[in-house]
Amino acid sequence: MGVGVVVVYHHVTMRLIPLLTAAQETHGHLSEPVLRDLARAANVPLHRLQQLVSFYPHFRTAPPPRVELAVCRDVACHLAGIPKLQELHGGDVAVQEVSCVGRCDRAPAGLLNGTPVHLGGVDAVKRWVTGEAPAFALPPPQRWALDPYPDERYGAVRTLRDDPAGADRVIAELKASGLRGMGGAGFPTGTKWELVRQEQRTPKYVICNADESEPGTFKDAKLLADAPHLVIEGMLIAGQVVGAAKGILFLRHEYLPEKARFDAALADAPLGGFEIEVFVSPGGYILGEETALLECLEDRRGEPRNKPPFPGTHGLFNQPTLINNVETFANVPGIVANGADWWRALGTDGCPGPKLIAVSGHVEKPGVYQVPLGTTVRQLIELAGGVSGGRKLLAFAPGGASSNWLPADRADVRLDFNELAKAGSMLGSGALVIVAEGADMLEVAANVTRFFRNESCGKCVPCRVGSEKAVEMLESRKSLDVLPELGEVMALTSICGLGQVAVAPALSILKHWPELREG
Amino acid sequence: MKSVTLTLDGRSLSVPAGTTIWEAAKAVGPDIPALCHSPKLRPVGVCRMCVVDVGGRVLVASCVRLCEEGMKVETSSPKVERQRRMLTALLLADHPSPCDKERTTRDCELEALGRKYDLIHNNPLQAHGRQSVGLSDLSSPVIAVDHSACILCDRCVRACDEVQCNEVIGRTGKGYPTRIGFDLDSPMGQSTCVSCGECVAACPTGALTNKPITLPLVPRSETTNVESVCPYCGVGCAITYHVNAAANTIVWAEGRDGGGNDGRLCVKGRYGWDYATHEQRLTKPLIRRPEFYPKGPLSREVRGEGGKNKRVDYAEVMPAFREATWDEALDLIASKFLAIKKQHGPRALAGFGSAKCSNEEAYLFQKMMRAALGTNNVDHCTRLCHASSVAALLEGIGSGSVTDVYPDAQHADLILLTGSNPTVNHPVAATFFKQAIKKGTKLIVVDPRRPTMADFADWYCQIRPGTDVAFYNAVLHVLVAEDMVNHCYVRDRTENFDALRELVAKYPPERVAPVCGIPADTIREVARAVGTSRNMMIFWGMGISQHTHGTDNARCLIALCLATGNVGRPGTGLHPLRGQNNVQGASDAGLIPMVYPDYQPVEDETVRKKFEVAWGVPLDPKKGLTVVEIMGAALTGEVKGMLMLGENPFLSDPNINKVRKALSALEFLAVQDIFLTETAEFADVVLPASSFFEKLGTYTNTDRRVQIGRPTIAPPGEARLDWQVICELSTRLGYPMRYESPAQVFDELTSLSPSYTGLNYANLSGGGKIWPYFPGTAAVPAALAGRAGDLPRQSSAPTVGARAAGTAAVPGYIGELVLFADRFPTPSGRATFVPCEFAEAADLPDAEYPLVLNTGRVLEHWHTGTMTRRASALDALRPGPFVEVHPADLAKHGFADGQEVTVRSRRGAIRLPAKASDGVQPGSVFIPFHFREAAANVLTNDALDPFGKIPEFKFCAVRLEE
Repeated sequence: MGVGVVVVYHHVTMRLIPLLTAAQETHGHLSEPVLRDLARAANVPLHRLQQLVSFYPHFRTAPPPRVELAVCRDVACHLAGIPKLQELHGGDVAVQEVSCVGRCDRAPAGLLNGTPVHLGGVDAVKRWVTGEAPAFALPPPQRWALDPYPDERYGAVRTLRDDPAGADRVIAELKASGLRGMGGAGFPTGTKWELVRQEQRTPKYVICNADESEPGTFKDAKLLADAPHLVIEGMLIAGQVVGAAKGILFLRHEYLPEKARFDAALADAPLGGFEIEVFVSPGGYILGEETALLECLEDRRGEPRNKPPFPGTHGLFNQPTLINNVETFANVPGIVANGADWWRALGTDGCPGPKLIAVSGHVEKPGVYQVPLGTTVRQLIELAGGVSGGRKLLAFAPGGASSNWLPADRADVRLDFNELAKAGSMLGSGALVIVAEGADMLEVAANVTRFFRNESCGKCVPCRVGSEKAVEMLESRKSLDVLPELGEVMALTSICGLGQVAVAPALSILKHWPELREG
Repeated sequence: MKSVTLTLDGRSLSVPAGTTIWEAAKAVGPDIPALCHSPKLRPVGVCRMCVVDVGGRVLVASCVRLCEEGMKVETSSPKVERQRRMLTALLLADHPSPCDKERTTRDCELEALGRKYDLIHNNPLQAHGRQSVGLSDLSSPVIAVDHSACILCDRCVRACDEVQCNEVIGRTGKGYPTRIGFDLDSPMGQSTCVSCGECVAACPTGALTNKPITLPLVPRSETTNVESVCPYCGVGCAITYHVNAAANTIVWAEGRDGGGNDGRLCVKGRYGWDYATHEQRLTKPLIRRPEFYPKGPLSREVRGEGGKNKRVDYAEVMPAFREATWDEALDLIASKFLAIKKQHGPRALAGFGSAKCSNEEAYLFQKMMRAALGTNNVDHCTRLCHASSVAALLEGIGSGSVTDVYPDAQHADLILLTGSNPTVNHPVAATFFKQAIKKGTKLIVVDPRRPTMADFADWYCQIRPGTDVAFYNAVLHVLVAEDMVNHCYVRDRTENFDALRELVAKYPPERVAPVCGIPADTIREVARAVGTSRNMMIFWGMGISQHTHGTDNARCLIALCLATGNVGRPGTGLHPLRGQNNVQGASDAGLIPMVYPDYQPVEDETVRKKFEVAWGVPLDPKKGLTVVEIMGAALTGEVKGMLMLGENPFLSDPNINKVRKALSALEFLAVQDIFLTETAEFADVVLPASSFFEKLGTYTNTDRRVQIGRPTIAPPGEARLDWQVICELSTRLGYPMRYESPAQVFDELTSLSPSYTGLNYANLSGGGKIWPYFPGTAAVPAALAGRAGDLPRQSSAPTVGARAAGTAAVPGYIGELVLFADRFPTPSGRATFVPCEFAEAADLPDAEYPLVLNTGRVLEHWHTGTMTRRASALDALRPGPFVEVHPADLAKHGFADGQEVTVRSRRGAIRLPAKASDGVQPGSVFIPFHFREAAANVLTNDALDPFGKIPEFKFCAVRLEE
């Protein structure tokens, strides 16, 4: 059997992940009898359900406790100081650590029965546990500079629908704008759209990746809450250009408040026959990897595919598929409506366009800031009110947990794809994490590496075993001399970006603070 | 085909587009290590050991990366080797070295890499190793699981999911704690695992290993490895047996490439061979002591007085016999047979050969019965199996064999599977069906009892028992009514279609729906699927044949294929899945009362003359009696003396209470077998035979594939090779038989059997050959056409076979897979439609006996259990009998699941535990017939199909009692 042979379970007609989600909503949890019934109803082997239920954190096989407190353990919350809440665990209260919940602007953060909360202190949390649950409300929407519409929306897609040459014009504008993917990899958007447009096979799909889950990253949440119409219009334009009739918003399940805003906008959108499905992720950072996301949509474990082939030619159900980040789609209507030049002017010299950056960690006003691309880190820190508590800057990660750390003396680096690459880091997921003096960088290294270990899907050996061994080394502070070699094998042989970068941030810390190697 | 040119380690080469780097490298030399990849499995690229440098930012896994034009590949640069070493170090750090595989067969692939990279005592990650404990799962009787040795290569997952398609194993958990899990992460022994062992065969480490069955497992270099085949079903899997010659014991078995099975096995083939060295093997000839006359059954179970022994209790039965010398025993048999022949004529003698024996043994047995004793009363269990199918096939298309082979299911776009439970009875053939279905072939399953294959079906029709003819007539009705008949095929290749059309006109779906319990619309859908498919294959089993209207059932299936033009092309055709490993061969060799070898009719004078010349004696011009008829004749005294070679009619024949009387009534019975069977309790003389594993011979599987079975161990004690016993006995009967070897017997068989032309021991090694075999452009033997079996036939048509000419040019040619591309071996060269009306079964339920009994088999056991209940693993997996009852019927009777109940028919009663199952429909029960302590055939009806003379094992009325 050669590569590319698709094993078709064509007797499977039900979508399993939605089926499991619905069953869990009905029964509270997925007990063995429930799973057996589902397997029978869907006519799938039991192990297919087990593979999913055991992989996705959203699924539970035991009844939920009355109160479930999920405490974020990742870098922004770690820097903010995570309160010791384990004492509350017991009886009908469950306290458990979870990966980043995307609320780094209110760190230390958590979820109380699914509702985002700021974990100010043990006493406050104790009160919630005994009854008074806090409410969560998104702030009122604000208008962002990338929004071309002072009032009437969806102008770009409306004109496009009447324009036979519209698709080519869009691709030309996108190319001229220099828009690059905002999810982390920075692939030129116009080129990607053109590739999918050129594919002859149909149906094609448009997928908006709204699964941002990297510690420190929460900019897409802001866009979904404040400008969902731009995301929707971006997807509609994409459908028009590449020739797709179906779009999917793949949304992380912690973003249910944002989902309400998106759903409302969707109800008002001039879809014109294009279908947009909102698929709520069953959880896991790895699903942000585009092929893991596709696997999830195809009811399998979110394990990244070997590439090539790439989704542009062989994506969802092996069909041509355009996948872009929320911010990428949100930038498209402005470019189409006002032209590439208008958009480029929102950037700085040599760095076209605007950029949303989530700032977290040791700053006075963590949050999402739209800045011209090419703004320096120092400027952005000032925008965010400066390093918190008047402390001095020690280190920063300019592109989320997977980007290499840079020391304070590099704070004049410009936030730009190329400039950061030159500096030995990356723009990544648009998340600037700030560390003030006094922090234990080796602990930061261990924290970040633990995140990747925790979120490794386990598919390939270097990432599955390597990330675990790296954490053991960093926690025990032993065999750190082997870490570069381990980093190399992970970088060179892991299937996807997660494994490839998992140890890099820790290595960057050991590089910039060599004295830490001594333990 | 497009090709691409690339540079591999500095060497330029061109490969077909679509070739992976790993495959390209393998073809030209550099050995790229891989743990997760194996050529038979879909590559997944998870272990990353096979990474190579193609000049990119990262290395690529060569097993999944396709060669590209102009690509420059480094397969073993220092950079690449450094990563491989580190990957090995990562896995070895957590590996329990030596693992179970390394400690036994010494072939753990990870530890081999560890040695290659000098990591066993020198692992930079040793300090961070995690030697997990408590991760072993020993719940399966045959497979040991050690999760700590698992490297998550997913080979077992793919072997289970995509090769065997049993769909039990998956990954469970996420990230570092991920493990393989069975079902919902159950212990393996409590999961739906069917113990095929494909996962063990695929596993590169000690995570999944075979538990020892006889002796501890040892390195392959320390065993003698014998290339043979499986002794069980008609799939005829090629096997390598690993033998400890000094201990005269098989240690383990492994699937072998080259046969139809592509290296796959099922639980019986892989784990069911230690019966050969069971303590109850007969080692000396036995003669019944005078005080045990008049003859009768010896054990409680056979007397029908209860008793729960799963095997004949030798303490209970052996006192009836004394040991004897071979000379004494053989002389006694010869003298008794000759006396009966002299006094009552040759037709007072009869012999049952066995489909478990080789072609050579079958040939010699029927030759002895016919030439030495002068009777055609020779038959075997084909009578109980596909006799009706063969009758219908001979009548309809002029040949009783399959028209296409089971692996060709991959070329069908529709499979109709009916009256067959292949995951249980032909498990390895079923894997090919399931694979085809996963790649898009549609499946229709028609069966009153839900088989596992229904899970894979697009349409599953649970018809009321015994209503097959009505159902298929309705399907044919729709084909005609909606004009989905292949008119060209019908016009050019068939005759009598008008009669069929006229008959099926009376079977509109609306009329048939209440009869068979299938909605009319479903019947139409099924008919449309059949009518619109390009290539359809029909596979069927005993559910079709074992009825008093079994021949009619098969006629309907033939009509379905003919009406839609589905015989004669790859991926089409009629395939009655043969039961026994050599039921095709034993029939080919003439172990049938109406025909000599190769279905040449005994009542055809020309044919008889030919055999009289060949065998040098006058032969009986009248056809003989069939199995059930012989039993009847024994009861009436027409048959007085019998020889049984490897058959156990006491458990295998219908209406055991009648069989008991018949066997008791025989004046003289000689049994040649490896154990003292239930039937042998009635014997005057018992001869210790050799088991499959002790002898050389050829076996013909369901695909007409002739393969060699080779001796793996020596017979115990004074047990003798069966072909030699037959020669000895024949000689004493006054008809000397002297052969040097089974090969010489085979040559004689082939010289008299046109179908076997061209086959000989020299060319049957490896994967064997499929008959007819036309290497080169040799003319098709004229005598191949127009043969007849049970039915009168003329002989004249000149050709058979699809690609007779020019096949020599085909590399790897092993014989004709597809038959009848141009014409059928009938006098007219055409196939015949034989329309038939629906008729009810013989023993219908009524108020007194309200339920319908269906009988059959289970995966772990074989027929009367003589072998499998003495195979320790199979016995452990399935220790006893049960009756499947629908939960609604259990509730109606107030019985609990697992409660022991009495099942009674008009002929007898048995007691056994009830098992709730919604696989049987309400009003039906199912009992497997392997279990002597609750023999299903006590209940079954010995009414016969008028054409095939097959009894109605699949239908009789019963009731449940407390």
